[in-house]
Amino acid sequence: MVSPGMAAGSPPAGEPDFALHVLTRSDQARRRRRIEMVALGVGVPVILLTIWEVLTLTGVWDAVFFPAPSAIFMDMVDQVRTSAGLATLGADIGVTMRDAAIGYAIGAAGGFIVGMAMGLSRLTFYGLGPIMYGTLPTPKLVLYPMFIIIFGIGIGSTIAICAMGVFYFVCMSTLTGVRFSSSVYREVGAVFSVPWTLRYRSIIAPAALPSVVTGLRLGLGSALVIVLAVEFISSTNGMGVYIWNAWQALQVGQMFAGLLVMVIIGGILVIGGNWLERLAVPWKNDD
Amino acid sequence: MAIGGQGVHARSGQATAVAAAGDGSPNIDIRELRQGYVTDGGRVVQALDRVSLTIENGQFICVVGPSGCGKTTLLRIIAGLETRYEGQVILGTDPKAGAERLPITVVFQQDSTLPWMRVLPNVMLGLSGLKLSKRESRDQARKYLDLVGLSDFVSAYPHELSGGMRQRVAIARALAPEPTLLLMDEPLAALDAQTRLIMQSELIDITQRTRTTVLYITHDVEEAVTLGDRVCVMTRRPGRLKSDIATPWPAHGGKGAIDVLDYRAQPDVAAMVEELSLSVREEVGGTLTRQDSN
Repeated sequence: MVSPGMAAGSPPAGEPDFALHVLTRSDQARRRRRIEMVALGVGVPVILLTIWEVLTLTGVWDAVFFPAPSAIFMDMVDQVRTSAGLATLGADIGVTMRDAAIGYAIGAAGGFIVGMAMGLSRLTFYGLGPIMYGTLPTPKLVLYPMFIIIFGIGIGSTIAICAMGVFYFVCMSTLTGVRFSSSVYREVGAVFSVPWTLRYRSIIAPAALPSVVTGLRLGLGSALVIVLAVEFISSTNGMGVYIWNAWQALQVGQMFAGLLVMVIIGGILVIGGNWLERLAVPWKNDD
Repeated sequence: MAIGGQGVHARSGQATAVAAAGDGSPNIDIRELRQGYVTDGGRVVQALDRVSLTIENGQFICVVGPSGCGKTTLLRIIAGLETRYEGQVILGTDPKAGAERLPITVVFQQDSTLPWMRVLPNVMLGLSGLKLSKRESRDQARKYLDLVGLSDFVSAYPHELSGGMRQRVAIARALAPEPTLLLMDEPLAALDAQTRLIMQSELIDITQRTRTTVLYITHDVEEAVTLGDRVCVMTRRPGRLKSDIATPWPAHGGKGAIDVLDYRAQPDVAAMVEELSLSVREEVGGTLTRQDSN
């Protein structure tokens, strides 16, 4: 008996057949959603690029500042076609990533330690809290001149300012994670007389972890932004310089090549970050 | 000898009676407990007003009362989670005490299973305060997970289990150290009615078998009369124990002798539930009219 509401071709009663039917429908739905995702995910940018192309070709947008995407693409290909061009790009990517990585590592480590200390020790919180919360709204880039004085222009000050920015994100999220994660877990530790090292390892740290991970991810984006900004202003090497010089010389193709590289790197970091987060904190999106 | 004063738990010096677990020997003696705190607005709120209670080993005591009456405060003081109070909490010794016991364990009202650990390590965490080897700890944890019916789920994560199952994990964790006193703070409140009934039967069964002494907080009068050997009613804030009655289980063959639903259908049981409900309702009526919210 086919009842209204069941698709044509549905199998007659019987338990195992129904299960198969549910499975098939679910598969179909999932496949449909994936097609939608890919179609729109690719289609919309393509449509936007096409509109851009048309706007430039018809003269609505000035070709000097917004060359047609096709022209940009040709330009980009020219940049990386020569081994010299590729080497320059590669070297600049390397410099930027190196500085960002070192700054991130220092800032994240420092932020985690200080955040933990503030979260666990009331006195530390009272001592450092006002300073941290007070300077929080200030854009850390503002401190760059100070670091130039201390380290001179160059890798030292770049890493320092990057670390500073990352430090704040990681410190505040670690602090939040420790202080405001569910107190019932800590009461479990108290009631069952869990020894302190185990309490830290199995209760306090894991409870804080989701918040810490969020801070680490925010810090990641922040590290890149800061390094690029610094390179715009006063560096000799790095993607910031690559992009900025291209802009100065109106080599729009080269500029967009640089932008594209940074977009790709950013995308990789986000996807990688998602994957790592799910690995480290599998319980995160429950309750 | 009893050491009195603020925030000190003491062990009584009474010799360990070799009596069979279950009767006579005092498990815990709570004397004249008073507790108050200052609200943000600067008002003093008294949570407990001279609460006194004695529990014998093997007994299952239920405390009922309206919300905010201080029953959770009472439990937290006994558990050692609140340290500022007046009065004395004197722990007795339990004849069935083994070499190393945790005096008191707690089953909390909210889900307190650690979501980042599987079920077995969750229960083993409850044993980490004792000096057991890893194998002993694992065996003990498994034993109590068997008891609560979760032996098939030892490797599951809490988020893969239902609410009732998670509370069972918390119960296994609290039982595994074989504490002198088990405290339970409305553990079944967050569960649906069917699960609650099933859990009540299981709790009776488990605590009868392990002969654990239990102090059980609930706002559900029927649950209290079902689970307890004795039921104490607490007044509205500041909480005082206004009655302490034995439940009719002995008249029906002893606890767990008949099915929980049959027991509740008995006229004397229903009458007691009615009487105690009225008693609690008097207190609630008071809270609704008095201006004592923070």
